[in-house]
Parts: sequence; C-alpha cells; structure tokens
Amino acid sequence: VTGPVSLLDAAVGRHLDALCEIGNRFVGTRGEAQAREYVLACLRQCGLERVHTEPVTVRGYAAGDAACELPAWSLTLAADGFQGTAVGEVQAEAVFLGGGQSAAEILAHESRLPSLRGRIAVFQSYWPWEVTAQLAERGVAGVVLISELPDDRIAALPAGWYGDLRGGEVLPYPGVVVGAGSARGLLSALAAGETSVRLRHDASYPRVETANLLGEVPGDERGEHVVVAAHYDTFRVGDGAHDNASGLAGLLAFADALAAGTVARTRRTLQFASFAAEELGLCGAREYCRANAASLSSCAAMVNLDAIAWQVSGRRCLVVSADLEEYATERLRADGWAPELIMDGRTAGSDMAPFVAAGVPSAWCWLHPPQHVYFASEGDTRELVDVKLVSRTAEAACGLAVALANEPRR
Amino acid sequence: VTAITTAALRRHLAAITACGNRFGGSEGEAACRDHLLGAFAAIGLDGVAREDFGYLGYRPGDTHCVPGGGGDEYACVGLQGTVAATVEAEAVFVGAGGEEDFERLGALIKGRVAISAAANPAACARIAVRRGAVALIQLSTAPEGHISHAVATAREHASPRQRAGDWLLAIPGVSVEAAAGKRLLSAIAAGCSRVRVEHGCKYLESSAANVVGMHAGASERVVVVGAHYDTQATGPGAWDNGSGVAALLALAEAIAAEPTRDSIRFVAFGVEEQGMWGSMAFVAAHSEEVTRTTAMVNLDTVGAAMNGSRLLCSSPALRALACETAIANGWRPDRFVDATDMPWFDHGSFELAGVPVACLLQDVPKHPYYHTAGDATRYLDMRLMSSAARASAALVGRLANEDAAAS
Repeated sequence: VTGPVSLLDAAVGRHLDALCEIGNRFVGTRGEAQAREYVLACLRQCGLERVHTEPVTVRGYAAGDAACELPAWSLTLAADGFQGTAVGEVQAEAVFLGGGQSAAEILAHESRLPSLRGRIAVFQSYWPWEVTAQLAERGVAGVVLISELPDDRIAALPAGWYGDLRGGEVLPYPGVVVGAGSARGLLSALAAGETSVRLRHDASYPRVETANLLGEVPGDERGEHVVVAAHYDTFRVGDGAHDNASGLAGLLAFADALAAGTVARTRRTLQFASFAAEELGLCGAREYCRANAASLSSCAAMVNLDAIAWQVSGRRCLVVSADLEEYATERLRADGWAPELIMDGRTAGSDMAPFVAAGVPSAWCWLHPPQHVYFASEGDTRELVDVKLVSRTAEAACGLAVALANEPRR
Repeated sequence: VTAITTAALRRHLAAITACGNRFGGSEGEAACRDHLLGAFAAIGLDGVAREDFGYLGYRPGDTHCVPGGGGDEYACVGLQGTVAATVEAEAVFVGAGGEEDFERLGALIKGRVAISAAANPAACARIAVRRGAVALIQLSTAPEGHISHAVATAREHASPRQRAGDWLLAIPGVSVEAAAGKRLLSAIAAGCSRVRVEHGCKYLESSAANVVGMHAGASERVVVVGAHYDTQATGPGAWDNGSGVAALLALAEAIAAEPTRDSIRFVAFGVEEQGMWGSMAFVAAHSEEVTRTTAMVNLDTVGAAMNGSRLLCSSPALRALACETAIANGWRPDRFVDATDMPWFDHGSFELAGVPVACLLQDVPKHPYYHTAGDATRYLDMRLMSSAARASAALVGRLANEDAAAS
C-alpha cells in the first residue's frame, strides 16, 4: 500500500492484543465498558480534540434457555436463543427454506413450498437479518436458524435490528439457532416427512445505556469533516478479534500515526468515531446520524473499518455508495489496493449504512470473501488474525479518508 | 534445516502452480512431472527418474442433477469412483451418513437416492450401497459457487491389481454445489422428493508416473520422504498439494548439501487424489528397498493460512521421536493420531507395507476452497508452511543419522 497513510504493524498489533485481552465486548457487558475506556484513553493520548462520548440507549439481550426438539425421532438439538426473536415456545410443522445470504436467495423457492403461515421456518445463513422481517410478514410461528460454522458451532447471530429503541423491534415469533452438524438430523427428518418441531426461546431484553466515542483531528480549513469509524462492540460471544478488533486497531493506529506526525495534517477535519452496539443493528451509527443530522450536510465522506482482515488473505472488497464508487476505486488502485470486488453500499450490514441513507458518500474496505470460518462465534480469536493484513487494509482505508479530507470540494 | 526459507518455498510453489491444474491425465500433471525431474536433477539427487505406473483414471463427462418434476438443475460435478449411469428415484437425506443416520431412516433407504453431508463420502457410500440406495448425492460446502470434488471409493478398493469392475461403486453419484444442495433439501422436505442423477464419465486405463531421486548414504538403510504432485479435478492446488511438493523440494535442497548415514529416497507421487495410486505403485515396485526402509515422512497440505491445530499423524514407533523433534524445531503438536486411523494419505501405502510413518498435518477447521478452483496461493501462509517443512526436515535428518531414531 503506497498511499498517504503508513501504519506500524507494532502499533496495530498492540491495539489488537489489548482489545482481545479485554475479551468479549457485547453491549452492556463489563468488557464493553473496558473497551470504551481503552478507546477514549487512546484518543486522548494521541492528542485528538473534542474527545467526548454521545449517549446511545439500546435494547440489549440476556440469554436464557433455548431448546429445539423433533419429538417423532426423540431428537434434541443443542440450541441457543436467536437473539432478537420473541420469548416463547411453539410446536408446529417445519419447512426448510434452504439458505443464502440475502432475502431473495433464501425465499427464492418459496412458491414451491407449503405456506409459511403458522409453520416453523428453518433456514441457513450468515446474515439471517436479511430475511427475518419478511418471515414475520408471512406469519411464521417460529424460526430455526442453522449456523454455517464448522464443528457444529452455533453462531451468536442476531435475528434483526431490534436494538434500536426508536426503529427496531423484537420479532413477533420465537427463534433458536442450531449447529450445522446437529441440524443434519433435523433436515434428515424433514426430508423423510417427519416435520413436527418444538422450539423454546427464553431471554430478556434489558434497556442498556451505552455511548459512541468521538474525537477530532482538526483540518487546516474549518467547516467540513470526514468521519473515520470502527465499532467497538462484539457479538454475544468471543473476543471479536476480526469483528471488530481488527478495524478498531486500524483506526487507533491511524490516530497514533497522526499524533506521531507521519501523516500530514489534512484540509478537512478528520472525525474519529468508534460506534456502539453495531451488532444489535448499527445502533450507535444510527443514533449518531440522528443526533447529528444538522451537521451531516458538512460531512464530506464516511470511511468505515469493520472486520477488515483475518488470517486468510481474502479479496480486496470495496463496499461503496454510488456517488463515491469511481473516486474510491481510482484512489485505492493508485494506492496499491486495487479493489477486486465492489459491493453496493446501500445494502451494507455495517455502520456505513445510515450514512449512505443520509446521503453521505461512504466507503468500507475489507478482505472478503472468504467469510471468517468462525464468524460470530468464540472461534473469532486473536490467533486467527494476521496483523500485517490488518495493517495493509487499514492503510488503504485510512489513506482513502485522508485523500477525501484533502480533496477539493467535489 | 535453516536452509529452508520462505523465499525458497515461495519459488518452488510458484513453479508448481504455474503448471496449472494437475489432475491425473491433464497437461498440467505432465508439465509438473517434467518440472520435478528437472528440479530433482538440479538439486543433485542420484538416480533421478520417472517411474510409470498404470491406474484407472477418472474422465468427467456430461453430468446433471435434476428435480424429478422438472425445474432448475442442481449445479453439480461427478462423484468420482461411482459408475456412469442415470437413475431417477425418491431421495432421502442421510445427514452425516453414519450407520446411526441410516438406521434412523430404516426402510426408507432401499431403492432411493441417498443425499449426504458426510465428511467421509467413501464410508457413507459403502453403507448406502449395502442398504440398497440407487444413487448418491454428496453435498459440497464450498462457498461462492465452487464445488468440492469428492471420491466415493475407500482406499482398500484402489488397488492397481484389482479390475475396474471390482473397484467402482455400483451406483452413480454427483457432488452438488452448496446453495443448490440447500434448495434440493428444501424441495424434498416439501414433498417434491424425486430427483434424477445423471453421472457421465469414463474410467480409462491410464498411465502416470512417480518422480524419484536418491540422496545416497553410507548404510543400506533408507528413509523415504514424499509428497503427491497431482491435484483434484479443478484449480491450481496450491494447498493440496503444491505446498507439500514445495516443502519436498526445499527439504531436498537442504539435505542434499550434507552427507547422511542412511540414504534418503525422495518421491513425488502421482495420482494420489484418485486413490493413492502413485504411493501404492512405489511400494509395489520397490519391495526390496521397502524392507530396508526404516521410516517414511509424508508432506501433504501444509501451510493453509488458518492456524487450526497441529496434528501429528504417525505410527506408534515414530511418535516420540517425531514429537520431540517437531517441538525442538518450533512445531508443537496439539494432537496425535495413529496413522492407521488416517490411511487416506500416501503414507498409508507405506504403513500398510509395515514401514513406520509420520506426517505433520495442519488440521484446519475448514479450508473453504478445499478441492475447488479456489485453492490458490494467496490462501497459504508461508510462515506456517516453513515451520512444518523445517520440522519435517529435522525429523528426516535424525531418522537418517541416529541409531535410536528408527528400529
């Protein structure tokens, strides 16, 4: 990477280690509070201005019991609660939808299946929130999500963006998540005509006060700013080394580089943001866009660092809003990080989405696919993250932010 | 050992993957064989030669998997080791394909197509045939539209001495792409359970070769080091097994520079993927040498860019030495497995012949592109690869020089 930002692997590694040492950072946990303190301390230490927090109130999740049974075969599957679905118990005929990574894929063959109304929908996905609202519209009685992870691991994925008190809702049906290995027994039964499934989900959704973390490196010309962001929370389990200690370590190492003077002062202000509660539905980023709606018109661009790299050198993927695609692609190519895959920023399941919706040109650089083998599970460990890959990806993203901060008004 | 550098590994790997796909019978296989002959000679090994052997080669043909009532096909490739035939029947899902999974379905298997998500397709296939299934569908888990190639015959069937008819599974089979597989299961669960399996392929009496060379020692005894140079049917096979062959060449360079007490036999095996034909042929052709062989060290799939666990697969007689040597060279095993429990590698052919074996395996949770076109160099970690290569080299050095090493 040959752009305007060069990061020290040692700095990235130090932040990565520190965040992983804190451990799980799910909303409302002690680890989340520790991560908040760590990030604020780093931003202050780097001499950023206006280091402050902005409150975010969300609906959290406290897991209770979960069960998934196939009475006819006396089969009991190890199950976790599907966070974001209703608490409750249901027994009904189950329908296997298949799977995919979008609602269109998951529902593609719906017309050939029995009506979903009153039935339990079973499906497999890394990104279940893409389809859970449609399933509610169909009137499903319950949902069984099958993890994509190996070793029969159960991913701690949320069912939807329920965390946002002003927009999100807990889905009206109960749901559970099961491992792909034990789900084979379930699918075998469904294929053999034994379709009655019982599931139970117990949990609570406490109100949780959390906060976005902000700071600035003022530009030479006041007025406009560029937001560079990385969320600091994790899924319910695991150290979140990839998601999102990787992006956050890149962001903090960028602050280090600015403090050390290895990156020149920009024309526009660089606003550093570490958003809260991304994994519950981009809650922190949404709240930021809502609370700062007035100043978003002076936000020239947003650059997102989320799950940027792990141990496998995936494809250089640029997720970008249409208004920034050409510029960002050219810039990244010139900086030695030519995108191999470009995705539509409007559908991004990450903090850039509310910015795109608000009309802010936004970009996110990450190495993807392949998906992390242990996505959203305790397998997302420090050991499976390569610091060099994180550094180079962060350099590309932060270099883009610097270029955007220096660009004449476009 | 320190002569094995990541730069050397990278250089060898680039030359091997540049040959392209190296499935038995392909141009890439021939190109790689020629490259290895040149590389062995350049290293200065003695008696560098190609040793031809016959095998039954799989040649893919027109293959389909279609819903019985019509509709979009399920993307698939042939399941190797199953016969070319077309069958249409009701399908059932046998899950992991273990005996208990079949047991649960009871009478539902006979006369049906068995769909499986088995980790070991050969074991599942054997049970399915015994219980009267008429076709097999193996579900691939590879992402992004890739289809992982699989073989449905167990190794004991893959003997060059057996005739084709004895070796092939008597029912047709296909491997179905992951998303299509989910759609297939969805259709069956919804009652549309008829499916047509059309497996087009040929099994041809073919010829391939091992590439051999020797580092002559002072004693009569021999230590074998090997790696297979063929790949599955698609992709550059960077991990499987460009990595092992690169390690073999780097190891040969390091060892050829110094005299050893025992001779070291270097072998790049042909056609491992279709049933370990090369290693079986080597053992058969060198029966006298095998009696003088004290150990075999295998290099297969090293250095995937996923830590996974380090698995020391060995004969009981070699475990202590291999473990101690590996640890001393920075490769600490997480788990041990008896080689007889993992015979589906080239070392299995030697183990069967009574030679103690060892293989330093990296047991990754799930290489997403295993046996697909996506098995590229970018998904390898040269650091992990050199760590396994160095530990293997140190083990070979001790086996060839120390009295207590092998009995």
